[in-house]
Amino acid sequence: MPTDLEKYLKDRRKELDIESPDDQLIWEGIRQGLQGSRSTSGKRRLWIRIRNMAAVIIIVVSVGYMIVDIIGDRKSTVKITLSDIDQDLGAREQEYRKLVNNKEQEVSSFNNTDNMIITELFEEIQKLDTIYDATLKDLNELGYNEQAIQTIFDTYEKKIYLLELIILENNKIKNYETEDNLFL
Amino acid sequence: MKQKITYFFSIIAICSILATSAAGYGQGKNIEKTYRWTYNANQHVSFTFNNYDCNLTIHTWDKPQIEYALSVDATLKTEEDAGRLDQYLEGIEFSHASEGVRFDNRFWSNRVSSPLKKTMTLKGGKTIRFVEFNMEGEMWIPESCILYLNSKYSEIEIEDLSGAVYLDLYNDKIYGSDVNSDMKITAKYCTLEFEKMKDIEADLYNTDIETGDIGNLDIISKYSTLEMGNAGRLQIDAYNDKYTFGNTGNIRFTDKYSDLNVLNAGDVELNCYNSIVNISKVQDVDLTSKYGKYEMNKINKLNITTAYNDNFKIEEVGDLVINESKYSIFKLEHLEHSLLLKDGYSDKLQIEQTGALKEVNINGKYVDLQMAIGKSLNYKFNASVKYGELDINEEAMNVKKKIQNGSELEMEAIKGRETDGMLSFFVNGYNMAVTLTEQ
Repeated sequence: MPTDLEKYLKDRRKELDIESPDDQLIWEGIRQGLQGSRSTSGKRRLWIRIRNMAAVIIIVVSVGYMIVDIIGDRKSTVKITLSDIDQDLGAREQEYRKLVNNKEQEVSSFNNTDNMIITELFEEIQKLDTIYDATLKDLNELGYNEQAIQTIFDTYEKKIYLLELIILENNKIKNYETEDNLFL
Repeated sequence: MKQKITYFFSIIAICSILATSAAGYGQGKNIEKTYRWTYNANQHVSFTFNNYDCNLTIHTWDKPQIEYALSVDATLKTEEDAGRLDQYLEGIEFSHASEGVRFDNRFWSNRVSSPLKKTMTLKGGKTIRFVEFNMEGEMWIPESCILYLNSKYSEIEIEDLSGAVYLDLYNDKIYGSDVNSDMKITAKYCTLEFEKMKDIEADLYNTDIETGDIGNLDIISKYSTLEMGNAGRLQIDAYNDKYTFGNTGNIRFTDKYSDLNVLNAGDVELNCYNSIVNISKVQDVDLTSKYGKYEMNKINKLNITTAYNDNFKIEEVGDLVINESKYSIFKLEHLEHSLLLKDGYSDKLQIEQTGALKEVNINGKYVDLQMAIGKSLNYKFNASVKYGELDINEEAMNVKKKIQNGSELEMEAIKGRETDGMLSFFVNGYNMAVTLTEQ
């Protein structure tokens, strides 16, 4: 049994399809529609990206802060160095270290283990290491402290001075051994 | 539109939260408060104070009390930290009795001040976190108390003290008035200034002391500088130091690489290595030295046990006795009584003027003696040398014996009439050069 709609269509068949659609207008409409939706979703995507980035930044900052906080608590036993306090101080210490190493290399070739004066000078250098360690420990407790920093550099200066004295004493031995031989 | 409004307010909210946290992190909670402790103590109380990283002023008074005011200026991380610190400091009770009081301002068992983290674990308490932490102290103690001050990294002012003082210091600056009692100082990397001090016993390392007059000084020191007024007896064991004194009593100076400057001294005993010694006026000097430089104006007697590569510049000396010497130079403006060189080796002696000479006796190898003597001076001249270079006024002498055997020379001569106790020259050795210039 035909439905009312089928009956209606049969009866009015001739009145239908008398106008052809304006394809150009339709496609223009679709194109404009598509363009409009594209620009809206672009803006939306940009906003989503900003939101995501902000969220990531907040998470990174928060997690970083927590890590620093936790590590900081655990790091209470770790000793700080001069470069931890200030990069310039660290660089200065490096310069001193280089100088000391150079002098130590020069002195290491000497063979005067039986000379009392030189032995004593080496002992003095060892004592300076003790002072250096104790002061660095204090620096860990005090934070930036002009006197402690000065003391640390002083240990390097004294070390260099004592190493130079060792070189000088070694030269004295050489010179006077030669002079004695010349006279005798 | 609705979405845009949501995003806008969300960003505002996030910024507000971040700004609030950052502000909270930077500011923390401040404590600016002075804590006070007062204890009864007798006038001669034994008072020990352990001071750490805290500038301090020590006043003295005649009250039988010790009072301590500790000002704390700190920024703590949180309100809770501030509360904990405040409560802890309020609750501190120092050990005290009328005979002995003991303060300790290092009230933490552990403190870390790294750029990453600043924490302090209070003794027997909890750990607090701080941004800044500063302390300053002021103290009132009986003038005649016995003070034991142990300090580090502080600047301390001290008023007059009349009881014994014991200082154990590291990286401190001490500015004191008069100390009218004995003092014992152990110090490293310190500066001490006092107006007057009594007897001092000190063990110093890289420390400077400046003071007026002192009593006796007994010191072991390295890399230090001491400038003092008049002093009593000095016993100094030095290494790379610098000393300056006014008038002093007897001195015993054992040293390496140091300078000693004294105006007037009693008897002096020097055992030196690479030292520089300047003494204006001194009684008798006993010396053992190597690589030293000595400048003295007036000496009664200079007795040298051994000298090695030393340099002497002396204005006036009564008697000069050199037991053993090598490569040394002696420049004497005036020799009054005698010169005795028992064993010289490559030494140079220059004497510009002589007084009532009694004896000149030179023994050694490669010794060069140049001496000016009075034209009218009568003397005996004896020589026993090999490769000798004698530049003497032989024409004015009565030569009793002169035997030249190759490079060897034996000689006995007299200038003027022989008398008992007349001046006698004796030259003995190898390659000896003697020049006697008559003035």
